Amino acid sequence: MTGPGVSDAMAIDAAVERLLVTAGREAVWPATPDLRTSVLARIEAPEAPDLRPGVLTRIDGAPPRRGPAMRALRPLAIAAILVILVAGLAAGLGFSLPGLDLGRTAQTPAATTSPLDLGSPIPVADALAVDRPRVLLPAALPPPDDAYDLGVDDRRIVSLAWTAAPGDPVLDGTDTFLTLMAVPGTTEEPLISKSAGPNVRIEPIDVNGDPGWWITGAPHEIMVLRPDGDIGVLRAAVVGDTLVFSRGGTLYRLESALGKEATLEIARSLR
Amino acid sequence: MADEPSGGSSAPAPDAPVPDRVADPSETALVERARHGDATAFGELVTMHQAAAFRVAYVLTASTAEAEDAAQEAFVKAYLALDRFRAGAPFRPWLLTIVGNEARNRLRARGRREGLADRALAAIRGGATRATTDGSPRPAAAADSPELEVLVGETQAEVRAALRDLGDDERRVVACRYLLGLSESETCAALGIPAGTAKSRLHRGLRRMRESLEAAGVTLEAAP
Repeated sequence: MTGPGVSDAMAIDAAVERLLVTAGREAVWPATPDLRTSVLARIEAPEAPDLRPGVLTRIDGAPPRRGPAMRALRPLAIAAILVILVAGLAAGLGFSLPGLDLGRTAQTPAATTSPLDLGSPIPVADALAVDRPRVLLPAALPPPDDAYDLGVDDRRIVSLAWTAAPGDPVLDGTDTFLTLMAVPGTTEEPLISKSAGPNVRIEPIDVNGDPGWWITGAPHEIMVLRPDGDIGVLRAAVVGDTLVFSRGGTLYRLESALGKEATLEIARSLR
Repeated sequence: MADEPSGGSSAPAPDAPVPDRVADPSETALVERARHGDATAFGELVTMHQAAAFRVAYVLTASTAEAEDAAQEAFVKAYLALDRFRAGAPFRPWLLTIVGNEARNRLRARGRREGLADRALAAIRGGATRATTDGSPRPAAAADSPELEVLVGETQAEVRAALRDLGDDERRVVACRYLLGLSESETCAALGIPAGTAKSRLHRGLRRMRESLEAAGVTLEAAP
């Protein structure tokens, strides 16, 4: 599953960086205006005596008084705030899931036959013994043929792969029909980033009550952000149909050559 | 860039994207004094960071006048919100968050104004409007973007051409990291995007630039 040259494509091109750094040095920006004078004039203006740090507190320092009407409305206000918070979280997450940054891009990724480099091969038994991310096995399939890992400690990504029988559909550039990736899932720092071009469809799916997306229609781009904690992209590839969903703090990613229904059935059988 | 005096037009960028900054003790002391109402101390902070604030606002608004207004408003808002600033943290990423928000708000407002004006013109003339449906400003043509305008001269032509091939989102991340010399967290703060999004846009941007440069026949020498 590890394709030659895939890692090469992940390296940031130092020559391009050098050109950009030189360009930055030689850039001619518009002159910076004297903001100090204008800002100080505003915060020191005598007609604005309340412009000081913490201005939102009352000037007399007394706690705000609440009338009976305000006290009665308080539970409603709290409920409204909760609704807004939940709606805001959903809006903020967009397509994304814990562990995954999934967004739209106007550009279609360049075609490639290099599969995603899943990391270093490890014994399947070792993969199944990992606690975080929690690796689940699909009851609908026989045991996996290969296992891989990437990253360390609580930033470890574990993948399983199933080899196709002769004549069965396979993922581009591989001899497998399914890979299952388990990724530590947090909203603060996704380890997986996906970019979907204009011809990619992203359909919401439900995996036994857990939310997810079925990404299909055209290949999309996946990047594994460095799970060792360093800044940057470790691996990238253009991949096909993929199902992603989140369960119990783990993001599961199934790249499949089997179509939506069969892949969803496999996901629902994860134990 | 942060220490560049007012009025400068060409400023050095770091040799490579800078790592995330740690709080400077002298800066922390200034923040503490400003938090207790010392306007002079806050003035020092403005001097230290006005170039970065103005340029980030300029990249986002593509207008020097709007950038000046946005940066000034952001400094005033930062002063008023100093009670909410985490003591000991670096000041610039926090400030750039406010600058980015202010610049984006102004851009949206400008889009709504232009949309309104377009619809009014269309109603008068009976023509089609130019505005977007959500009230956001029309995307500027890449040739007009501020990141490209600051790259002048023959030696910059290749980089300018490769930057022009990028989408707006990718170009802004590349500009923040390399042309403005911001750290990763400062880039995220200024653009209002998560770290993962910034990383993937930067990666895509650099890769596309490399492809454009190679297609243009530019020889990219390997790193020494």
